[in-house]
Amino acid sequence: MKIEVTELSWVDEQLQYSLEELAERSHLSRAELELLIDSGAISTLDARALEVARIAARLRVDFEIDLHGVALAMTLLRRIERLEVELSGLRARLPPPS
Amino acid sequence: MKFKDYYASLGLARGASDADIKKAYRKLAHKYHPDVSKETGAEIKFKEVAEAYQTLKDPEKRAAYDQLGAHAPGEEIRPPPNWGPEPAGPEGSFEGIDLADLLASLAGGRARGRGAGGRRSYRGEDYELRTAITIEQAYHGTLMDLNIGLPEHDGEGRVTRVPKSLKVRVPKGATDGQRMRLAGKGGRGVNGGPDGDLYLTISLLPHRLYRPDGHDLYLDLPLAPWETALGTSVEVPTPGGPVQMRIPAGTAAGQTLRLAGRGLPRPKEGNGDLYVIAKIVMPKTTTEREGELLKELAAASNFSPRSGLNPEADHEN
Repeated sequence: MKIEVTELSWVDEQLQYSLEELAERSHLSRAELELLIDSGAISTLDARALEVARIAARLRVDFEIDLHGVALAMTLLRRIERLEVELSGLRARLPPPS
Repeated sequence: MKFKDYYASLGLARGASDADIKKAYRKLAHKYHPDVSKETGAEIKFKEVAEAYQTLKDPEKRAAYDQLGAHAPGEEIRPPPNWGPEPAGPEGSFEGIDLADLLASLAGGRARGRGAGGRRSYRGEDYELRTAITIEQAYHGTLMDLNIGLPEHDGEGRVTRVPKSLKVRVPKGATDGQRMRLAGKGGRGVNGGPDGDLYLTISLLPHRLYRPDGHDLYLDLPLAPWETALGTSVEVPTPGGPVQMRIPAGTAAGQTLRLAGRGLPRPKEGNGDLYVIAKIVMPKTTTEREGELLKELAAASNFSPRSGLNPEADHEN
């Protein structure tokens, strides 16, 4: 049996979405997306925004919290993510504990 | 159809109250939700917990589920006749039908999905997967098998989970946290809508030698004290194969030397760098001759390694 190989492509960071496209792909409404934009969780309508919107939609449903709570969680998650990248960079420079 | 013990998934007894169900779910969701948890296997565990909660929080679904009685998880069961039409297939077989999907389609068609009626077209769902690869796989690119189960609507409102095996090529250039896309490999589009995409988030497995920072790599290079003092040329491993590296005389412990372009390849062009951290190691035992030479060095040297610890030192410069 011939197995087809699918090529993975990089998520194009240059890609821009309209608010409608983001809403359809994330299952958030325009108003909900605007709330995420106002809170600073989403700044530009790019691939990263789609990722944030989809995480926000999941958190809202799975934790049964309102969008204001989700926006706060997103800001904190983003901060944790940045700290983790920084920490992993610093760890790389240090010898592992022996 | 395989039985799943939803009460056990939430750590509850069968008669648990609605409040207990909610409380148990919230506690487990905080622990295992893949967007907030770093626990190993969190994703699989959360899926199990969420599936249990979706059924037990809904009185209608819970009542239907309770009708099944208690069985061992994984035991092959047939739903009671009042659960509605038997699925199309050889002798109305329930084999391969997922309990959660069946309960969802039972519950008043609320979970039928947007595709069951109407003519509006919808884009298929996007799905997220995570996978871990080695530094060598990131360096050279790799082929990997992905086994996924994507829900599909059968047009009758019933959802079946279709297992899919995909062989995918991860191109060289991926690093920790990299997101990749498989266009059109997510959920099926509805009424002519485009198929969704599958997103894959890559992480790097810990490596015996290299520690990654983006596309740069860090490596500890053990050196003898005389090698750093006198300078030398040593063979250094890199993901692309060993290279010869010059260690300048007087290299200190912890000093970082750069091998430009010997790190992980970047997606578009070029490579990250490989940083070599000098680590001075002493032999565990020394020979008589080595001991003599070290004593001779100690006697001849006027080097004062701790001069910086002198409280007066601050005033000298």
